[in-house]
Amino acid sequence: MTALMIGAMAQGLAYSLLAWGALLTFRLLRFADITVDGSFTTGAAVAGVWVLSGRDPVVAILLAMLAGMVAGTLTGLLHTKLAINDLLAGILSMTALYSVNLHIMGRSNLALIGTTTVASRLQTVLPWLNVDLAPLCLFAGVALLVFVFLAWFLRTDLGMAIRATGDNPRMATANGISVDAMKIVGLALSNGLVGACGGLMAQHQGFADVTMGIGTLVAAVAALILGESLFGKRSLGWTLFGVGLGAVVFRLIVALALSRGLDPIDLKLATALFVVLALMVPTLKRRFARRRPVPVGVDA
Amino acid sequence: MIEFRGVHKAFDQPGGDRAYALRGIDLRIEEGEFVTVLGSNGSGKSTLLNVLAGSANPDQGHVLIDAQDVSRRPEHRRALYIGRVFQNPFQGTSPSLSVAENLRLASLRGCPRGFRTAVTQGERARFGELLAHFELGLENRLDALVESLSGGQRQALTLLMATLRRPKILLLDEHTAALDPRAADRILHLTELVVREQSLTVLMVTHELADALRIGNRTVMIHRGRIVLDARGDERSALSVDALRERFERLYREELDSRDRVG
Ligand SMILES: Nc1ncnc2c1ncn2[C@@H]1O[C@H](COP(=O)(O)OP(=O)(O)O)[C@@H](O)[C@H]1O
Ligand SMILES: [Mg+2]
Repeated sequence: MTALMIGAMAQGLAYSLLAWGALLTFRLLRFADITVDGSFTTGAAVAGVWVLSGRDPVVAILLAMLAGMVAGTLTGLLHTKLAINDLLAGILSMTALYSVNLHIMGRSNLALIGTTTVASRLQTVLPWLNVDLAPLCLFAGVALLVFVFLAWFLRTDLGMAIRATGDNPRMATANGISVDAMKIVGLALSNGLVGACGGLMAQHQGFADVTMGIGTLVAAVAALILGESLFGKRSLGWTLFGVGLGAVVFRLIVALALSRGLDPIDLKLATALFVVLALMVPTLKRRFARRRPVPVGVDA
Repeated sequence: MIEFRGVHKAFDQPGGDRAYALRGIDLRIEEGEFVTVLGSNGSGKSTLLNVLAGSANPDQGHVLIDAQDVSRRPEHRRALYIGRVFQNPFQGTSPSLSVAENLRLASLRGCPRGFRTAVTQGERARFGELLAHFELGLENRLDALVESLSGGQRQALTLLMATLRRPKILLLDEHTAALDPRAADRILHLTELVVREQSLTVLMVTHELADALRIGNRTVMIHRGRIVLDARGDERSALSVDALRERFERLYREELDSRDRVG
């Protein structure tokens, strides 16, 4: 395998955190959360500033996650306490985060080349890992950890309450679940994953940039849709696995397209087009189905 | 014991009009009473149930459960006391959760939810028994997603969920109206069964005059947000479907007359 593909796989494994974040909000809570375009950068900024000051790179990722969780909570509060709709609440957070991110970084980008990263830390522990394999192993480990956590969490009483909230808020409420609280918890968790991913990517790429979060939601949704199509609706565990894998497949496709001459300028356009096409499928199916005669005597 | 004290509730309609859904409801429901609620469309029956459950807050007046004023308590914090089955079979369950997960969720109605891994083995056995008791053919389909169930099965599951943890009052809002006649009969039968077994207090909205008189031990009729009939005991036994229909028609005529006078 070429270094290019190994790099794409590593990135894909890191991006699985974004795809799972989108699964939590976009799918399970039915909340289109654009906060992630800001909180991804926030995670990168926090982690970047932390390692630049010579402090621990692992703590940097935890702080990036925490910062993401705060951002998600903020969006949740805007939505639930002030009754601002989901898209607008996310846009408000994302916009506010732009300034916050600049404040955290102190300028519009940070160069992190030469700082200790989690991957370089891993290399000192396991000296046989080379520069390409260390991030791959690291991100695989992180993805596995998050996968196991989510597979457990979503089956706990709290996790089930979150799923029921998105599925049928009326029923959730009738069973004593605070729909507002569940949305906040879900948004915090989702943005926590996104923030952590931002931190990991900043360390991996060796820079943090105030614009690096643009397109995060669309990319995450693209990975989510890809992943869901891999194994269908077999079970929650399979869905989770598929969505994680979807992020890897997505990054591999991107790397392939770029190596075949796709202009990087067109990457976001292509991603958005892919999501549009994927979202069109159910509409087209329905339109097609309506043309067929309705069977008589069949109860819906 | 459940009590409505001088409850008023109005809604702003899309056209700018105000709909006076409840106009001074005073109603006391004793422990163990099974009240059937009648009334034409838009008379305020659903609003009556919503105000008690907390889906709507009264503009005036109070709602009490066991002498506690719950009027200002949010809906999810009243759930401990209230079991609900809605008219629409899609509203009572979570479609992408399994049968067992829905039951587990309902078994914690009104309780804090933590990090326990939801469905245990012991619980699966208990859920299986309960489902077998309901004769839905679901006892071996605990892991099936609820979205694969028929409307009748979902409604029966909702009924089981609403009574899994004994509620202080069971609210049924035309819960058989969206089902085919056979499924409707079945649900009504299950309703009577579970109410008898747990000696539940019930408020049941229905359009079937015969059911309203046959089932339960008290019948209330609502008209334009007011209680116009409240019958129990001998008075209720003496009522017939024809007498009720007569009453409906009279109310309807009076309404037309009053409109003519205004117009
Ligand atoms: N959420 C609401 N928004 C606006 N109007 C409502 C709402 N709920 C009920 N109403 C109005 O209140 C009146 C009573 O409605 P409802 O209680 O649903 O009647 P019923 O259940 O007896 O058919 C109707 O005029 C209805 O249009
Ligand atoms: Mg109604």
